Amino acid sequence: MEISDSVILQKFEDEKTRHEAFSLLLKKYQQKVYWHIRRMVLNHDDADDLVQDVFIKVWKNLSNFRQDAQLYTWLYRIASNECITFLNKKKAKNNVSLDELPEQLTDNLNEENYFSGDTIQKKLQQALLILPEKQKLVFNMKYYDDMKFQEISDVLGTSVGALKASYHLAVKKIEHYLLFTD
Amino acid sequence: MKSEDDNMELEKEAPILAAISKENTFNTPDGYFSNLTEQILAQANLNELIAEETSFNVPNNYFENLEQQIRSAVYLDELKEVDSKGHGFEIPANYFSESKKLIQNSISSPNSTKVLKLHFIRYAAAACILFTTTLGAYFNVKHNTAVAHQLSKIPALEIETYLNQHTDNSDLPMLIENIDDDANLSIDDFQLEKTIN
Repeated sequence: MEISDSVILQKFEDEKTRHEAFSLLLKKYQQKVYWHIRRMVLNHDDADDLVQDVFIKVWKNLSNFRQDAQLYTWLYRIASNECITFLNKKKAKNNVSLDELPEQLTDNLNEENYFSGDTIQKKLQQALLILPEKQKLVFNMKYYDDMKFQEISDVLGTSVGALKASYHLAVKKIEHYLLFTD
Repeated sequence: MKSEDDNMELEKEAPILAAISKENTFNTPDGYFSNLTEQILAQANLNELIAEETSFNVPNNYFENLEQQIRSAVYLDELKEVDSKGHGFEIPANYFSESKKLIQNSISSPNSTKVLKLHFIRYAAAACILFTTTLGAYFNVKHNTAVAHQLSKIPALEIETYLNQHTDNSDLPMLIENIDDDANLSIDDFQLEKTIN
Protein backbone atom coordinates (compact mmCIF):
# COMPACT_ATOMS: atom_id res chain seq x y z
CA MET A 1 0.00 0.00 0.00
CA GLU A 2 1.37 3.33 -1.08
CA ILE A 3 1.63 5.90 1.67
CA SER A 4 -0.21 9.17 1.06
CA ASP A 5 1.50 12.53 0.56
CA SER A 6 -0.35 14.04 3.53
CA VAL A 7 1.09 11.41 5.89
CA ILE A 8 4.59 12.02 4.55
CA LEU A 9 4.23 15.77 5.04
CA GLN A 10 2.79 15.32 8.50
CA LYS A 11 5.70 13.13 9.54
CA PHE A 12 8.14 15.59 8.03
CA GLU A 13 6.83 18.41 10.24
CA ASP A 14 7.80 16.46 13.35
CA GLU A 15 11.53 16.68 14.05
CA LYS A 16 11.60 13.11 15.37
CA THR A 17 10.05 11.54 12.27
CA ARG A 18 11.55 13.88 9.69
CA HIS A 19 14.15 11.43 8.40
CA GLU A 20 11.57 8.66 8.23
CA ALA A 21 9.24 10.90 6.22
CA PHE A 22 11.98 11.80 3.79
CA SER A 23 12.87 8.16 3.35
CA LEU A 24 9.22 7.39 2.54
CA LEU A 25 9.13 10.28 0.06
CA LEU A 26 12.24 8.97 -1.66
CA LYS A 27 10.88 5.48 -1.99
CA LYS A 28 7.63 6.80 -3.42
CA TYR A 29 8.99 9.33 -5.92
CA GLN A 30 12.65 8.69 -6.67
CA GLN A 31 12.01 6.49 -9.72
CA LYS A 32 9.43 8.85 -11.24
CA VAL A 33 11.76 11.81 -10.77
CA TYR A 34 14.74 9.85 -12.08
CA TRP A 35 12.95 8.80 -15.32
CA HIS A 36 11.62 12.29 -15.84
CA ILE A 37 15.18 13.57 -15.70
CA ARG A 38 16.69 10.70 -17.65
CA ARG A 39 14.38 11.25 -20.61
CA MET A 40 15.57 14.83 -20.73
CA VAL A 41 19.33 14.33 -20.38
CA LEU A 42 19.50 10.71 -21.66
CA ASN A 43 22.81 10.01 -19.89
CA HIS A 44 22.56 7.97 -16.70
CA ASP A 45 25.43 9.63 -14.85
CA ASP A 46 24.01 13.08 -15.51
CA ALA A 47 20.58 11.88 -14.42
CA ASP A 48 22.07 10.37 -11.27
CA ASP A 49 23.73 13.66 -10.31
CA LEU A 50 20.59 15.63 -11.04
CA VAL A 51 18.23 13.36 -9.14
CA GLN A 52 20.42 13.69 -6.06
CA ASP A 53 20.53 17.47 -6.44
CA VAL A 54 16.75 17.55 -6.78
CA PHE A 55 16.13 15.58 -3.61
CA ILE A 56 18.67 17.60 -1.64
CA LYS A 57 16.68 20.69 -2.60
CA VAL A 58 13.52 18.88 -1.59
CA TRP A 59 15.05 18.04 1.80
CA LYS A 60 16.03 21.66 2.37
CA ASN A 61 12.76 23.19 1.22
CA LEU A 62 10.07 20.69 2.04
CA SER A 63 9.29 22.50 5.30
CA ASN A 64 8.32 25.55 3.17
CA PHE A 65 6.12 23.49 0.83
CA ARG A 66 2.58 24.85 0.73
CA GLN A 67 0.04 22.06 0.56
CA ASP A 68 -2.20 23.96 -1.86
CA ALA A 69 -0.23 22.17 -4.62
CA GLN A 70 0.29 18.44 -5.01
CA LEU A 71 3.60 17.10 -3.82
CA TYR A 72 4.53 15.30 -7.02
CA THR A 73 3.84 18.36 -9.23
CA TRP A 74 6.17 20.31 -6.90
CA LEU A 75 8.79 17.58 -7.30
CA TYR A 76 8.41 17.61 -11.08
CA ARG A 77 8.77 21.38 -11.14
CA ILE A 78 12.08 21.22 -9.28
CA ALA A 79 13.28 18.39 -11.49
CA SER A 80 12.26 20.19 -14.70
CA ASN A 81 14.05 23.37 -13.66
CA GLU A 82 17.17 21.40 -12.79
CA CYS A 83 17.09 19.71 -16.20
CA ILE A 84 16.78 22.98 -18.12
CA THR A 85 19.53 24.57 -16.04
CA PHE A 86 21.78 21.56 -16.62
CA LEU A 87 21.22 21.50 -20.38
CA ASN A 88 21.87 25.23 -20.67
CA LYS A 89 25.11 24.85 -18.71
CA LYS A 90 26.12 21.94 -20.90
CA LYS A 91 25.61 24.03 -24.00
CA ALA A 92 27.66 26.87 -22.58
CA LYS A 93 30.39 24.56 -21.27
CA ASN A 94 30.83 22.65 -24.52
CA ASN A 95 30.30 25.81 -26.56
CA VAL A 96 27.76 24.09 -28.80
CA SER A 97 24.74 25.54 -30.51
CA LEU A 98 21.16 24.38 -30.07
CA ASP A 99 21.50 22.41 -33.30
CA GLU A 100 24.67 20.64 -32.21
CA LEU A 101 23.47 19.58 -28.76
CA PRO A 102 21.06 16.88 -30.04
CA GLU A 103 23.95 15.23 -31.87
CA GLN A 104 25.94 15.03 -28.65
CA LEU A 105 22.94 13.67 -26.75
CA THR A 106 22.30 11.10 -29.45
CA ASP A 107 25.66 9.54 -28.65
CA ASN A 108 24.16 8.44 -25.32
CA LEU A 109 21.62 6.35 -27.21
CA ASN A 110 24.41 4.39 -28.86
CA GLU A 111 25.69 3.04 -25.55
CA GLU A 112 24.18 -0.44 -25.31
CA ASN A 113 24.60 -0.51 -21.55
CA TYR A 114 22.17 2.34 -21.11
CA PHE A 115 19.74 2.00 -24.04
CA SER A 116 18.10 -1.22 -25.11
CA GLY A 117 15.37 -0.03 -27.44
CA ASP A 118 14.87 -1.19 -31.00
CA THR A 119 15.40 0.91 -34.10
CA ILE A 120 12.04 2.66 -34.02
CA GLN A 121 12.39 3.49 -30.35
CA LYS A 122 15.84 4.89 -30.95
CA LYS A 123 14.43 6.92 -33.78
CA LEU A 124 11.72 8.25 -31.46
CA GLN A 125 14.36 9.42 -29.02
CA GLN A 126 16.23 11.12 -31.85
CA ALA A 127 12.97 12.78 -32.88
CA LEU A 128 12.51 14.08 -29.33
CA LEU A 129 15.89 15.74 -29.53
CA ILE A 130 14.69 18.12 -32.22
CA LEU A 131 12.07 19.54 -29.86
CA PRO A 132 12.75 22.63 -27.80
CA GLU A 133 13.43 21.71 -24.18
CA LYS A 134 10.18 22.97 -22.75
CA GLN A 135 8.15 21.31 -25.52
CA LYS A 136 9.99 18.10 -24.87
CA LEU A 137 9.08 18.37 -21.19
CA VAL A 138 5.42 18.77 -22.13
CA PHE A 139 5.53 15.81 -24.48
CA ASN A 140 7.30 13.54 -21.99
CA MET A 141 4.88 14.31 -19.16
CA LYS A 142 1.87 13.77 -21.38
CA TYR A 143 3.07 10.84 -23.49
CA TYR A 144 5.11 8.82 -20.97
CA ASP A 145 3.75 9.88 -17.57
CA ASP A 146 0.17 10.26 -18.82
CA MET A 147 -0.28 13.44 -16.83
CA LYS A 148 -3.28 15.73 -17.29
CA PHE A 149 -2.71 19.10 -18.90
CA GLN A 150 -3.78 20.79 -15.68
CA GLU A 151 -1.08 18.89 -13.78
CA ILE A 152 1.50 19.80 -16.40
CA SER A 153 0.31 23.37 -16.08
CA ASP A 154 0.98 23.22 -12.34
CA VAL A 155 4.49 21.96 -13.02
CA LEU A 156 5.48 24.39 -15.76
CA GLY A 157 3.32 27.38 -14.85
CA THR A 158 1.92 27.52 -18.40
CA SER A 159 -1.74 27.72 -19.31
CA VAL A 160 -3.56 24.52 -20.25
CA GLY A 161 -4.43 25.89 -23.70
CA ALA A 162 -0.83 26.72 -24.48
CA LEU A 163 0.23 23.30 -23.28
CA LYS A 164 -2.31 21.53 -25.51
CA ALA A 165 -1.12 23.47 -28.51
CA SER A 166 2.50 22.75 -27.65
CA TYR A 167 1.82 19.03 -27.24
CA HIS A 168 -0.03 18.67 -30.52
CA LEU A 169 2.71 20.57 -32.29
CA ALA A 170 5.28 18.25 -30.74
CA VAL A 171 3.34 15.18 -31.87
CA LYS A 172 3.23 16.48 -35.46
CA LYS A 173 6.95 17.20 -35.47
CA ILE A 174 7.73 13.71 -34.18
CA GLU A 175 5.41 12.02 -36.63
CA HIS A 176 6.97 14.00 -39.43
CA TYR A 177 10.45 13.01 -38.27
CA LEU A 178 9.46 9.34 -38.05
CA LEU A 179 7.98 9.43 -41.52
CA PHE A 180 10.57 11.37 -43.43
CA THR A 181 13.89 10.87 -41.68
CA ASP A 182 16.03 7.82 -42.33
CA MET B 1 -11.49 7.26 -20.11
CA LYS B 2 -9.65 10.44 -20.68
CA SER B 3 -6.48 8.46 -21.44
CA GLU B 4 -8.30 6.33 -23.99
CA ASP B 5 -9.60 9.43 -25.70
CA ASP B 6 -6.09 10.80 -25.84
CA ASN B 7 -4.81 7.57 -27.37
CA MET B 8 -7.51 7.59 -30.03
CA GLU B 9 -6.72 11.14 -30.86
CA LEU B 10 -3.02 10.24 -31.04
CA GLU B 11 -3.73 7.34 -33.40
CA LYS B 12 -5.58 9.72 -35.72
CA GLU B 13 -3.05 12.48 -35.51
CA ALA B 14 0.20 10.43 -35.43
CA PRO B 15 -0.34 6.76 -36.29
CA ILE B 16 3.36 5.88 -36.40
CA LEU B 17 3.99 7.39 -33.00
CA ALA B 18 0.93 5.72 -31.54
CA ALA B 19 2.21 2.36 -32.76
CA ILE B 20 5.46 2.63 -30.82
CA SER B 21 5.55 0.87 -27.49
CA LYS B 22 5.81 3.16 -24.48
CA GLU B 23 7.91 0.72 -22.53
CA ASN B 24 11.04 2.09 -20.92
CA THR B 25 14.03 1.47 -23.16
CA PHE B 26 16.63 3.12 -20.89
CA ASN B 27 18.71 0.98 -18.59
CA THR B 28 20.23 1.67 -15.19
CA PRO B 29 23.07 -0.12 -13.38
CA ASP B 30 22.05 -3.18 -11.41
CA GLY B 31 20.59 -2.35 -8.00
CA TYR B 32 20.67 1.34 -8.75
CA PHE B 33 17.36 2.27 -7.17
CA SER B 34 17.91 0.10 -4.13
CA ASN B 35 21.03 2.15 -3.35
CA LEU B 36 19.65 5.49 -4.48
CA THR B 37 17.58 6.06 -1.35
CA GLU B 38 20.58 5.42 0.89
CA GLN B 39 22.80 7.67 -1.22
CA ILE B 40 20.39 10.58 -1.12
CA LEU B 41 19.74 10.15 2.62
CA ALA B 42 23.47 10.11 3.28
CA GLN B 43 23.97 13.22 1.19
CA ALA B 44 21.05 14.97 2.90
CA ASN B 45 22.56 14.19 6.32
CA LEU B 46 25.94 15.43 5.13
CA ASN B 47 24.41 18.67 3.89
CA GLU B 48 22.63 19.06 7.19
CA LEU B 49 25.90 18.62 9.09
CA ILE B 50 27.68 21.11 6.86
CA ALA B 51 24.85 23.59 7.36
CA GLU B 52 25.09 23.16 11.13
CA GLU B 53 28.85 23.65 11.11
CA THR B 54 28.64 26.80 9.07
CA SER B 55 25.75 28.27 11.03
CA PHE B 56 27.98 30.37 13.33
CA ASN B 57 26.52 33.19 15.31
CA VAL B 58 28.09 36.57 15.90
CA PRO B 59 27.31 39.07 18.67
CA ASN B 60 24.71 41.73 18.05
CA ASN B 61 25.95 44.67 15.94
CA TYR B 62 29.25 42.84 15.42
CA PHE B 63 29.74 43.87 11.81
CA GLU B 64 28.60 47.45 12.54
CA ASN B 65 31.45 47.83 15.03
CA LEU B 66 33.98 45.66 13.23
CA GLU B 67 35.34 48.42 11.01
CA GLN B 68 35.93 50.75 13.95
CA GLN B 69 37.62 47.97 15.93
CA ILE B 70 39.97 47.14 13.08
CA ARG B 71 40.83 50.82 12.57
CA SER B 72 41.62 51.18 16.29
CA ALA B 73 43.76 48.06 16.27
CA VAL B 74 45.72 49.31 13.25
CA TYR B 75 46.22 52.72 14.89
CA LEU B 76 47.46 51.13 18.12
CA ASP B 77 49.83 48.93 16.19
CA GLU B 78 51.27 51.96 14.42
CA LEU B 79 51.75 53.70 17.77
CA LYS B 80 53.57 50.68 19.18
CA GLU B 81 55.84 50.60 16.15
CA VAL B 82 56.74 54.30 16.61
CA ASP B 83 57.35 53.71 20.34
CA SER B 84 59.71 50.81 19.64
CA LYS B 85 61.73 53.10 17.35
CA GLY B 86 62.24 55.72 20.11
CA HIS B 87 59.13 57.91 20.00
CA GLY B 88 59.73 58.78 16.38
CA PHE B 89 63.10 60.57 16.98
CA GLU B 90 66.16 59.37 15.22
CA ILE B 91 69.63 59.08 16.76
CA PRO B 92 73.03 58.72 15.12
CA ALA B 93 74.25 55.24 14.41
CA ASN B 94 75.92 53.48 17.39
CA TYR B 95 74.99 56.39 19.63
CA PHE B 96 74.35 54.36 22.76
CA SER B 97 77.34 52.07 22.27
CA GLU B 98 79.72 55.02 21.92
CA SER B 99 78.16 57.36 24.45
CA LYS B 100 79.61 55.42 27.37
CA LYS B 101 83.13 55.86 26.02
CA LEU B 102 82.57 59.55 25.37
CA ILE B 103 81.38 60.13 28.93
CA GLN B 104 84.30 58.18 30.39
CA ASN B 105 86.78 60.14 28.28
CA SER B 106 85.32 63.45 29.37
CA ILE B 107 85.64 62.42 33.03
CA SER B 108 89.26 61.20 32.73
CA SER B 109 90.49 64.51 31.15
CA PRO B 110 88.87 67.33 33.14
CA ASN B 111 88.78 70.84 31.74
CA SER B 112 91.81 72.83 33.08
CA THR B 113 90.05 76.17 32.59
CA LYS B 114 87.49 75.24 35.15
CA VAL B 115 90.22 74.36 37.69
CA LEU B 116 91.91 77.74 37.24
CA LYS B 117 88.66 79.51 37.70
CA LEU B 118 88.07 77.63 40.94
CA HIS B 119 91.52 78.72 42.31
CA PHE B 120 90.91 82.35 41.32
CA ILE B 121 87.62 82.39 43.18
CA ARG B 122 89.26 81.00 46.23
CA TYR B 123 92.06 83.59 46.15
CA ALA B 124 89.63 86.39 45.39
CA ALA B 125 87.45 85.41 48.34
CA ALA B 126 90.46 85.25 50.63
CA ALA B 127 91.69 88.67 49.42
CA CYS B 128 88.26 90.18 49.99
CA ILE B 129 88.15 88.85 53.53
CA LEU B 130 91.70 90.09 54.23
CA PHE B 131 90.95 93.49 52.71
CA THR B 132 87.76 93.88 54.72
CA THR B 133 89.47 92.82 57.94
CA THR B 134 92.39 95.17 57.35
CA LEU B 135 90.09 98.05 56.49
CA GLY B 136 88.05 97.44 59.61
CA ALA B 137 91.12 97.26 61.78
CA TYR B 138 92.52 100.41 60.23
CA PHE B 139 89.37 102.45 60.85
CA ASN B 140 89.10 101.10 64.38
CA VAL B 141 92.67 102.08 65.26
CA LYS B 142 92.27 105.40 63.54
CA HIS B 143 89.08 106.08 65.43
CA ASN B 144 90.65 105.22 68.74
CA THR B 145 93.66 107.36 67.94
CA ALA B 146 91.41 110.20 66.96
CA VAL B 147 89.61 110.07 70.34
CA ALA B 148 92.91 110.07 72.23
CA HIS B 149 94.17 112.82 69.96
CA GLN B 150 91.11 114.96 70.57
CA LEU B 151 91.32 114.36 74.30
CA SER B 152 94.95 115.40 74.28
CA LYS B 153 93.96 118.71 72.82
CA ILE B 154 91.72 119.48 75.80
CA PRO B 155 93.60 121.45 78.47
CA ALA B 156 94.17 119.66 81.71
CA LEU B 157 92.50 122.45 83.63
CA GLU B 158 89.26 121.97 81.73
CA ILE B 159 89.36 118.29 82.37
CA GLU B 160 90.02 118.88 86.00
CA THR B 161 87.13 121.36 86.18
CA TYR B 162 84.87 118.96 84.40
CA LEU B 163 85.74 116.16 86.67
CA ASN B 164 85.30 118.31 89.76
CA GLN B 165 81.86 119.24 88.61
CA HIS B 166 80.58 115.94 87.28
CA THR B 167 82.43 113.19 89.06
CA ASP B 168 81.19 111.37 92.16
CA ASN B 169 82.67 108.59 94.24
CA SER B 170 81.44 105.85 92.06
CA ASP B 171 83.63 107.08 89.21
CA LEU B 172 86.82 106.74 91.12
CA PRO B 173 87.66 103.11 90.36
CA MET B 174 87.18 103.76 86.67
CA LEU B 175 89.45 106.80 86.79
CA ILE B 176 92.12 104.82 88.56
CA GLU B 177 92.00 102.10 85.98
CA ASN B 178 92.46 104.63 83.15
CA ILE B 179 95.41 106.38 84.60
CA ASP B 180 98.36 105.88 82.36
CA ASP B 181 101.48 105.05 84.20
CA ASP B 182 103.59 106.76 81.61
CA ALA B 183 101.57 109.94 81.70
CA ASN B 184 102.82 112.96 83.42
CA LEU B 185 99.67 113.14 85.32
CA SER B 186 100.29 112.93 89.07
CA ILE B 187 98.02 113.40 91.92
CA ASP B 188 99.13 114.09 95.42
CA ASP B 189 97.35 113.00 98.56
CA PHE B 190 95.82 116.43 99.05
CA GLN B 191 94.27 116.42 95.68
CA LEU B 192 93.13 112.84 96.06
CA GLU B 193 91.58 113.57 99.43
CA LYS B 194 89.94 116.66 97.99
CA THR B 195 88.60 114.70 95.03
CA ILE B 196 87.24 111.94 97.22
CA ASN B 197 85.60 114.40 99.57
